[in-house]
Amino acid sequence: MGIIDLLKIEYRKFNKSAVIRLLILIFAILFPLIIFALKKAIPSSENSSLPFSTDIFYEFPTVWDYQGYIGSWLIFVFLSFLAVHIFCAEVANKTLRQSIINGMTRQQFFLSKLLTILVICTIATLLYFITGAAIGLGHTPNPSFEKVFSQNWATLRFFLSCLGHLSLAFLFAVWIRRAGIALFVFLGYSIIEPAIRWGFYWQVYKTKAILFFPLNAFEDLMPFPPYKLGEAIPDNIDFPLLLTTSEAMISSIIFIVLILFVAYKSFMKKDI
Amino acid sequence: MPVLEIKNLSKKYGPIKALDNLNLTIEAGNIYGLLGPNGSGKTTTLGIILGILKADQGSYKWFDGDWTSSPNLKIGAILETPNFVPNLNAVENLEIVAAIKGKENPDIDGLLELVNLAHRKKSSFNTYSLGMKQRLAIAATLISDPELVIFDEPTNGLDPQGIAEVRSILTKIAASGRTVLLASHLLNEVEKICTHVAIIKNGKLLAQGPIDNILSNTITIVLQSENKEELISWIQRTPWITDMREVLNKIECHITPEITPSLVNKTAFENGIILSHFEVRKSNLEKEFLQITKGK
Repeated sequence: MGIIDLLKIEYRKFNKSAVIRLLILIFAILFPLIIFALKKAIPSSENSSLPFSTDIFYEFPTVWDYQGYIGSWLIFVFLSFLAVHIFCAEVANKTLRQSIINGMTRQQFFLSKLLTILVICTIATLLYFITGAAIGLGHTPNPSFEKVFSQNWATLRFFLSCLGHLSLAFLFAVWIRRAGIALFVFLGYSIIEPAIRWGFYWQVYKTKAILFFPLNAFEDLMPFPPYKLGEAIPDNIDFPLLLTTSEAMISSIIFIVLILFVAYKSFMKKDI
Repeated sequence: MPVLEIKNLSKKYGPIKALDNLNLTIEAGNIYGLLGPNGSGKTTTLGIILGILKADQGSYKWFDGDWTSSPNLKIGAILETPNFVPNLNAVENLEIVAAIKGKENPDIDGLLELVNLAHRKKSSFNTYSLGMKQRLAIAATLISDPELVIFDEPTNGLDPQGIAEVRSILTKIAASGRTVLLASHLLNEVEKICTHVAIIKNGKLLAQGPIDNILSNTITIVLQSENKEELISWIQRTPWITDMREVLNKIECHITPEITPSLVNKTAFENGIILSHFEVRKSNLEKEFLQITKGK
């Protein structure tokens, strides 16, 4: 069974799923809308004390940062649920065990889920690129090629951020197998990881090493843009609050590989 | 040729031994009944050989190792409950099964006719009754024209009509010449359909072989005479009559298959016993099953 066959089977299984349709629809609607809602919510620089103009939300090249940051939150909230759902729904409906009984190998089943996650990430990244480009082109006076693409690797960073979040959610789904609990643990982890990092910082080791944690690495791929600009960083920390782009990319790739490896081993080992 | 060879299969759930060095061989073309009380290890055995459970030790070999990516592609199986995507209809679900099996242009309409579901083929799976779900699962097992079909308690939870429908379909499948493995505790069904049985309890194989061999081990006779003491004394002296017990003023005992009823009658008469009641009860699977599993 080839990759296309596996994707076709996944499509057949989920193309009528109300949960998946709803989540993708919400993501697709909110993604372009939120940035415009921000314009309404945040007064422009003439009327506020903000150190920058809100026009940078929409103009090249910074539109990539803002749109990417908004997108990474939407991924965290909505698409991570998709990653949990595509696995846990199969456990709950017992279609996972039936797929194996019908002749799919465990490797093929795992690959089919991984491919689905990659497709979701690709679609989300395309949406990021299209909406970012459309917003930027509509608001940037005289957009030059250099201006449009001066953000290094923004699209790839967004894709990795998406893949990282979904892989982590998927790992919890494989471990826990119940959608509600897996989501709860995933959301809980997003609180626990910073607590561990800063606990580590205060109690043990005051270095940049505390930034090299999975969720932090994924978040630093698309960080809060003012942080990236070097603003709003606490004075009492003597190292940059964010991983550099290349650090974030390399560590994210390593974490994604590790997470998927652990998920694969766990899936292969357990009874279904 | 064996389609399945199980060797020393063991599996524990915590401290509970679900399978204990189970050995079993299933030959091609046989209709095999896997019998055992609830919790005997039937479903665990099937779960392991179908790849959804991991054995703690032991091994199994499908089709003498002659398969490609998964031996299950040559098998159609239902384990416990019918499992399909709930919001998809029968045709869509069967298309998924066919895609997994790599079966191009499956005769879905024909299969739905066979299991009497054609009229509901466009209804979502989650609107089906349990009997309909079970019938759809049977259709799914046949979609790739498998060499072996496995059914685990296919009539569980069904009403009498549902049981009759499933039994009728199973009989047709059994008549098609495929190898069938039927795990059940409905012994009547197994006795009617199967050519071979394996009986397991507490994860151990207690007996296996052609169903005739299992059934013909003993024949029960029920005797009565006006002179009961004489009758009992004669039975006690006769080596080929065993397991005597008194039931409602009659004597129930066992004879081996070589002993004919006429020989019993003749020998009793020669010993001066006039039988006022002589009944031969042929062994049935239920009786044998209870006998074999008793106290084990």
